[in-house]
Amino acid sequence: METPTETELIERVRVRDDRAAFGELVRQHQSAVRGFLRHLTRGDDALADDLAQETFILAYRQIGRFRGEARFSTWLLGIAHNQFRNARRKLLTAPDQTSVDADESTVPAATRAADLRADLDAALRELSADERLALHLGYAQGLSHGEIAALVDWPLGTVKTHLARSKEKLRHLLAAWNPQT
Amino acid sequence: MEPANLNSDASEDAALAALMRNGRSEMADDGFTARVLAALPPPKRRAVPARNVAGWLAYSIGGCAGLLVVLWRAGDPHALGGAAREFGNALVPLAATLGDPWIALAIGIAVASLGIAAASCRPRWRPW
Repeated sequence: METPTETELIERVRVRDDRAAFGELVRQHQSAVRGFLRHLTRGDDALADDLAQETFILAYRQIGRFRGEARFSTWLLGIAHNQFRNARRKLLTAPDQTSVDADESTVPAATRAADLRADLDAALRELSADERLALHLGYAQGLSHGEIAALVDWPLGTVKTHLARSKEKLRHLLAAWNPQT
Repeated sequence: MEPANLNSDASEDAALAALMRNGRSEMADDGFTARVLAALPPPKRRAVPARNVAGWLAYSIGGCAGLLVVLWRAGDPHALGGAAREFGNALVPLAATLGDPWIALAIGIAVASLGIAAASCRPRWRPW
């Protein structure tokens, strides 16, 4: 039996309220959405998964509004981003994303020194929240500049500026990993 | 201050993408999908589609029209009553055959078959 395409799955959910089809969509996109929210919540996996669940439930309710103008994954990430912003607004105690995260204790110093991943995480902490967000969406999620602009509601120029600035900072911070620079 | 270069270097972008995705393989589902499906709102009771309302309307109008024709053709209500009695009398021998267990069994099987068929298919003309 042929595997249904993403468009067919969406249509089944929209027209027939096919929950099995929606389950398949969740299975296909859960990793990206949960990964994005874990990035936004800075490692609070439980909160990220709660928000991811709310994201998919909202997507299910609003799937009739999905017109296919953007990729389905981008549309889901947009909902996830809104969920995160709403949650942050509600939880006034949540750390301000615009400040540099002071919680460096989550990565042991010895591991950080030995591991490129840890060094990258440390370097990312030197970036502003918006720069990190642009970098994550552009490089970890593979979104285009236009998609990022639409998702986070920034002008295209701002996206490009954030990406260029963050890359410049990373180039400097990770120079040890690339002796040619 | 604006960065000196806003344009992307393809090789640097590829390296950065690889770096950003490094160690971030596909996240295991771990029952996440099942939790989402369990938390979905219950299925909505569908409103009666306009098509079904139109079907019922057609049946009702047809029934009423048929009744009016019968009344009109009968002319005299007494004659109509007599015709009804004749029809009833004609049914008596038919009803008598139902006493035969084989006939009753055949009718039972036919009715059950029709019931199963009606439950398992949704013809366009069915008004419910």
